Amino acid sequence: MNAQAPQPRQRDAIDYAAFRRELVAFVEANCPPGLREIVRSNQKIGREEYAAWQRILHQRGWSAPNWPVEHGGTGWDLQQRYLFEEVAAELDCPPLYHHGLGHIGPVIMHFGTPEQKARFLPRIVDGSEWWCQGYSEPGAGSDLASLKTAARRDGDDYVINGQKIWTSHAHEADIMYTLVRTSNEGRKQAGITLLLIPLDLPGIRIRPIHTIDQWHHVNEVFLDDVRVPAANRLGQEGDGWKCAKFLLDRERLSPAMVPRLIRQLQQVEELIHSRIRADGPSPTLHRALERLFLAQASAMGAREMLLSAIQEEMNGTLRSSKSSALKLHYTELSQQISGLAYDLVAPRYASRLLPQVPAADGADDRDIERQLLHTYLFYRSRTIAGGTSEVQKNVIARDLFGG
Amino acid sequence: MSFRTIPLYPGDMYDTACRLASEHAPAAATADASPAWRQMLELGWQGVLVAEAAGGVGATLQDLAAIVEGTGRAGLTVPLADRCGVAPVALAAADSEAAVALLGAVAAGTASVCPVLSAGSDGPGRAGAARLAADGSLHGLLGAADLSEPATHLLFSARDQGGEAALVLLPFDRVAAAARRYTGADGRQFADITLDGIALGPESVLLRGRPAATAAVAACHAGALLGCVRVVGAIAAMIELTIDYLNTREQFGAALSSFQVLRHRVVEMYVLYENTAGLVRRLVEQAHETGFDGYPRDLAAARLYVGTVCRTVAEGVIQLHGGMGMTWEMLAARLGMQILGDSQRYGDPAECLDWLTAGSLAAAAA
Repeated sequence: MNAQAPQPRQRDAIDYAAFRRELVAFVEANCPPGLREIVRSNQKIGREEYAAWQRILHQRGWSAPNWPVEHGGTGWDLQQRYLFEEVAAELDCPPLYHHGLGHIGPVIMHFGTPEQKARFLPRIVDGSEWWCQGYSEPGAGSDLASLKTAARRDGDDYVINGQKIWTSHAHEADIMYTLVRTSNEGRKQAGITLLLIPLDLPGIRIRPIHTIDQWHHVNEVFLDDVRVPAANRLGQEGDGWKCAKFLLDRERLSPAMVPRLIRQLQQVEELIHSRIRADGPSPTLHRALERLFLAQASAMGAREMLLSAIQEEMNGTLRSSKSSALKLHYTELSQQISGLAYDLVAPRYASRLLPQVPAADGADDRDIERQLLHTYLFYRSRTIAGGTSEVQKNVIARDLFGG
Repeated sequence: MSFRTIPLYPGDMYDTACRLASEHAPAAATADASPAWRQMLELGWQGVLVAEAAGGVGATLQDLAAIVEGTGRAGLTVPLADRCGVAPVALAAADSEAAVALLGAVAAGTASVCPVLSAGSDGPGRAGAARLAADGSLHGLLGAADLSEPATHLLFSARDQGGEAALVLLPFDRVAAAARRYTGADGRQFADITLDGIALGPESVLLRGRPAATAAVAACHAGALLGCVRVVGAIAAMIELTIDYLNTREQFGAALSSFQVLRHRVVEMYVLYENTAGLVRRLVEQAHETGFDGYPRDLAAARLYVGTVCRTVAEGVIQLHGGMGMTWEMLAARLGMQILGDSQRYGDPAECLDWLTAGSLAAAAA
């Protein structure tokens, strides 16, 4: 449980302005400047940074903003969660680590046994156990139900053989929630089961995937005769697809998406202004300003889309077309913004991305222009991960055209 | 069931506007008021923003936005934003006895004021070309006055010999003969009016100096914002019409809506619509809270953005309707012409870009 367990409040009684002031005061007093500098300068953050911030939030009882109070969460409504994300983005706090808090935690709450809830949930809230997602396979990406990693029942265990791919954070995670095939009978969705697989089990091998951004996020995970206790199965055998859909439906609206984008836009504006001061208003910078203005207006629209979607979700009227439209728009806009930054920084950094002997004082890491080049490359994944833009368009089209 | 968008401000005002607008086919241009406009005057829509004390309804900006959005769906060429928003905002700022009396007549529908205003350097746009000579006579040109419906007065910005702003009100019949009329690309009726030494009495100059400039900027703010609202209404209708068309029309033995390439293009327009609607809603709320003070930077950025959206959606809708998209008969295509027209008034994209860039360069240097 949290160090301080908050009580849920009635919506009418919430003073959102006062709540926001409380958030700002807390962040300013408690988020270490060094951590904020890492986030401000767009450095790649990993478990160490995520966990440091989560420990601090946990002390305040705020480490699980999207969870109900009975499981150690804050019980905040979506509007409060949005304000939390807005303040965190504005003040350069690390994001919350989504695999535990956003993904598997709520699935365990819904499908888990009392023993599983007691075993796993507290360690997600306090950040002591780290999760990753074993979904995609070499032959199962957008068509996830085609996955082949096999789980054969053997006494009280399942024996797993197969391969997962694009597994973010597997190299620093403790447990992988994993979709496996337990049956080849009937519809392919029906033969899928969700297992919670500790990554220190014999037979597991994790290999980094070298991505174009030259940051290490994703991995291949090979499973060779890995024995997993059947007690680590979530739900019944064959319930895996139901669990995965539950997760998707629940997480269709993320309050975190727009505030980070707006913060990045501020940074790009500062960059353009600094170039204008240094070089004068060249035609290139005029062009950059035009792209900036368009992105600012578009981001303002995205913020309002999110806020209205939050209201609709709280009222139970949110349509899937709108939440998908928001994801589609946000991801493409984030690429436009990082693309603008790229055009400003690439002439210098495209040939100087990775210093072979980094500056001893960490200046290379703190160099935001260098990091923006990494970010541009990393953000190409934005329209691929979590449902490609093309899949999102299909989802929206089904709603618009009635089939 | 066919897809239907959710309006910015659903309610009675919006429903009434949609119903009224849908009952009237676009009228051929004549010197008389169209039946649709006569009905709007009778309903007191020119007085929606006019204070109750001045004989108006004293309603909110959101109420007027609901009317503009609802009528914006039907392709009528009535100058709602000009006559119900821009002119009343400028007249209210004048606050003289004559202006208050005229506001009452505007609210009652017995007068209708056509605005031709410029934000000068306080907002995007070119300075007006009307000049006020030392002897009180007017010179220069009033460009692109929207006379799609009859006006009793013109309200415009002018500059005196010292470069000071003036807000001038003139009975339209004094210059009617000097109007060169045009049909715009969107079907609206415009006029360029030559002011060739027209003598003015002191009662015609409602404001001078800073207050005149401030009133003009506030009115342009209202015009720019309501133009965006109309765009939202029109795009909503264009998307719905296009979906209906693609669901109905068959080629190669299948409904056009079964082709993914067409579906995705509609989705892209829908996403732009949701984004624009959110943006415009925010700006309306902001104006409701703070009034029409100045021409906000956010509004200029929004108009720059909305200009690109208008191009994308208008061109997309024409393409998706095939040859029918090239016909004036097709409402979706006419709406496309209208949103292109809307994006050119009260801060066109180029004017907004220039103004925003100047502001950013100044901010960077500071």
